[in-house]
Amino acid sequence: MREPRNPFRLRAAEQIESELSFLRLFGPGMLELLSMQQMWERPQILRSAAGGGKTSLLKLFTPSVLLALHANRGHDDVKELYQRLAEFEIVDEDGSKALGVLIPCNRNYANLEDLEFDGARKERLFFGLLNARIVLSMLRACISLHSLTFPRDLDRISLKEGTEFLNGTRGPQPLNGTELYQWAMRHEAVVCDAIDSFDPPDQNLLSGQETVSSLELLKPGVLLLDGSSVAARTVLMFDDVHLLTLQQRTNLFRTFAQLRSGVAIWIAERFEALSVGELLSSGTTEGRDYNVIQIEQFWRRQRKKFENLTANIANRRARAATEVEVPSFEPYLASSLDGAEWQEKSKEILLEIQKRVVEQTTGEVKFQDWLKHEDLTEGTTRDRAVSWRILEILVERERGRSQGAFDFVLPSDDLEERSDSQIRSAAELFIARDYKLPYYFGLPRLAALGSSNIEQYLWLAGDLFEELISATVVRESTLQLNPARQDLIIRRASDQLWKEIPRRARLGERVLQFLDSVGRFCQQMTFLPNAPYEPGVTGIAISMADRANLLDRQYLTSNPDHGRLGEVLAAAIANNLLEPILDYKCKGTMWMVLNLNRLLCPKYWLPLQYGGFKEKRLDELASWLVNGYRVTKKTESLL
Amino acid sequence: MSSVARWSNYVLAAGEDLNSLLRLHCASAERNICVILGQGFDPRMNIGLRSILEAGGTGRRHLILLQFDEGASSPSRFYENAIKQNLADLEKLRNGVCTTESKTVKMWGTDGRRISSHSAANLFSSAKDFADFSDVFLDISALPRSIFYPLLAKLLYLQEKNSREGKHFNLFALVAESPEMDGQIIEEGVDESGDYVHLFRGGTDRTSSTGEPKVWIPILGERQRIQLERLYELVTPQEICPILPSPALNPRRGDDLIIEYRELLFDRLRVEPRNILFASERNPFEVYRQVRKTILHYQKALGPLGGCHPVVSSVSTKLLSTGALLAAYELKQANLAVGIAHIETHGYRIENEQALIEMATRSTLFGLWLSGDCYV
Repeated sequence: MREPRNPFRLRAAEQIESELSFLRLFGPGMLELLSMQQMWERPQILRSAAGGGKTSLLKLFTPSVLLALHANRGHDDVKELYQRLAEFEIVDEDGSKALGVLIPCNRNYANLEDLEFDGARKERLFFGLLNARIVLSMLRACISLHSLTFPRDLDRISLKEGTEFLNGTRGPQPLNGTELYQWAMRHEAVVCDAIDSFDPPDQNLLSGQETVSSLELLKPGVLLLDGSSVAARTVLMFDDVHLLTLQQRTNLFRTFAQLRSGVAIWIAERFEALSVGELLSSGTTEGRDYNVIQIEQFWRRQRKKFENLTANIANRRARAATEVEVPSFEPYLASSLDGAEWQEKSKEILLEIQKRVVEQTTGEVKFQDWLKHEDLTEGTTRDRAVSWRILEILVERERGRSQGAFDFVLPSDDLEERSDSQIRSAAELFIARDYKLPYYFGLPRLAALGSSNIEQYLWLAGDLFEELISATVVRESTLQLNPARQDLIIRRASDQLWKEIPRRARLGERVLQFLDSVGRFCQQMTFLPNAPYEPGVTGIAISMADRANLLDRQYLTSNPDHGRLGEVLAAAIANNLLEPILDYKCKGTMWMVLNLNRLLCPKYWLPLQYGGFKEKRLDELASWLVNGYRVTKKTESLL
Repeated sequence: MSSVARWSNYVLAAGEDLNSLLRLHCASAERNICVILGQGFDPRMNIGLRSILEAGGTGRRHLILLQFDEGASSPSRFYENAIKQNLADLEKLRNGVCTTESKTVKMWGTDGRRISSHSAANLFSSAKDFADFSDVFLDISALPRSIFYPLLAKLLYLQEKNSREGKHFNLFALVAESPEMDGQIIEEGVDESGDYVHLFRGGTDRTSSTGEPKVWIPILGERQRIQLERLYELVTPQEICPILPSPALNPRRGDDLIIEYRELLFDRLRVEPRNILFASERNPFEVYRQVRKTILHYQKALGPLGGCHPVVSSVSTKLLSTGALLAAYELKQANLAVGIAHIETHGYRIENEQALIEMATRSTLFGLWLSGDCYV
């Protein structure tokens, strides 16, 4: 394949062939997801929307990658990753300590359900095929971990004496690597042939097993290479588990919970595996048997870490570019509007707002001290414009609050107290929208627009990087992307996301209609003149009681509209278009908050901060599915 | 396998040529004809049947109508009226002329999993199903790929089985093509993941051959970026050989597709420009030849290293998709497993329902005589 022109366009796990390239592009911050204490004890379930970084994380623990990591541990781009994995006791100076066995579930397991057999037989076939594939992957991993040749060196692999792996099945027990390989290959071939056959399969040829008996082989000290244990630790990793059937997934989870084999088990799956009920209860599934890591939720709780991770990944990708030399991404993204090119515009804005506020407050004694506040005369032109806009919002609030009250002078300190960072953000947003200034620019906002999803972030950053490449080609004098250009590129990406919703998501048209309603509603709430939900509203919330109704079959039978709403919400959550937060306490009630994916926000000039949401009843939301959101008279009067 | 392609000589006719062929064929002997077609909102649904019935001739005429159980939430349900209209037209056509039976294709399993391709392959299980017929026509105009791929493959298989028993029937595929209509029918709610078509999983599933490189041959069509991305995620190939429709009625069509997918093909998937193949947009047998030749070339070149896993996908017209299927079928029967990667959608949206009916009248019916008398 050709050299990558824009490395941001590569998906780490699938498209990067060389192990060293993979390691150079891997952000060590991803390891924050794993906990040293838990990762070896309970099965870990990594769950996210597509592009959350699950496959890359699992790939990191495969033997060839770990060997490359060890061999390149002195390399600047790999050092930190090596240190972190050394802390996890995965690698040390002698090499890799762990045998990582990766089992992709995007194979034909689900097709077993279509065979005309009874349930028990299908379950046995499933476990049989899974065992064969675990054995095949395990043997390859062993050979790779010790840099041997496959399949020539399989004979050097043996099993601890007394190990019985194929209990209760016909034929002799495999005793060494070659015999295991032959058994597994034959078993897999028979099942695959049966699935892909034009004629009905011969039941007598198909055998299976009762459980994941291959775990026995992965226990420390069971698999031997030249008589010594293959590795100190073993981790069995299942990727794309959402592609199994519901029954298979349930059987697999149940078996791992019961087996307690001593083998570390990691399971990666997308939200799409979850039922409507599970999707609407995302985040509450942690139990004794499993440790569930919801990747997007994890980053939402640790925004700074996500920002650092994405900045690190962006720098790595930028350095990998062949057509442009960019050692670090951040300096190439202008991050303020204080430059000389914006000075004239800022002056114009300042004068206009100043004039407006003075006119509005003329004759009102109570604002006279506020109008003399030092913030209104100090700082850059842009700072002053923002301060005047804050004043305008506060005047609006004060008017709403004290109609009919006495016209006492409001102290200057009062203005300072009320001017917190939230209202400043709101004022900046109001100015941006009123004067069509760029708003979505700079690295922190780029990270926020990633909405806790690595792939989404890479996509956006890739769009911006494309401009750098073009600027290099046409030999622009400066490579730095100005705020206006960044804003334009991000808005285009946002528009594309909106446009693709009907095609990407199940029930796409309804999801689009619903999200569009949420967006319009949020916009109206955000830009109320007194900015009551500073810096803005970017989500809605339903009470946990209403959420329980959406999970109640009986309730849904008598309220089919709410059933449809539940399905639309689930489809939007599964595609990471809505970001759920459960059990959010507000006004003495528990809420399920549904924030818009941040990349949906630019269409409606919404801020990227979280926290602003409005509570809604199911009836109203269900009506948005049919008629869309309509401005109420009450809201209209406020606008 | 034989160095001579099974369809190196073929019978393909379109428009008035096809009508003449059908008239001659039907008049040549008493023919018991079975027509299989899908029930849907697409106004091209009845075009094939009409041509066959208008061709005249004697013998039994039998219709097997495939109905799709898509579930209550399918966006296609918005077009119930169009389906009713098509059924009313069908009723007029077949009235007193042909017998009819219906078969249901279950699209979803009880656990919410797609099973359409498996259901389609199991619609007919035995060569006896067609023992009474001299000719079987499968009209794929209103059938999604996930249905007609396994169905057509199964019919080819049963036809061969019948032939071995000395009772062969002629197998035809019909498809009414209209690029302007295809442009009006927008796929909605693309599945989150692609999958291999039942019977054509190829060798890609086998862990025992994990190390063998995968060669992916996607046949490109317009507005399919999401589908292509998701198919790529499924296949994760080492080599990609896209097929562009050229020559085409619109001579710039191939260029337009390259512009549409420039970023995906060259930046993300890093396709080598020299890997791009071309095939006429109106000749599925040319696609068949290109796919077959490419797969055999890669097998030969990579043979010393253990071979490769070829996978084909079509996000283009049904006519061209048929060519990909024929290549995959022939190679599968020669023990060279070829995967067909496919991604489905939850439904379709019609841009302009009224315009669609008018456009249907301008579509061209293609007929592919796939096996039977002319190949003996």
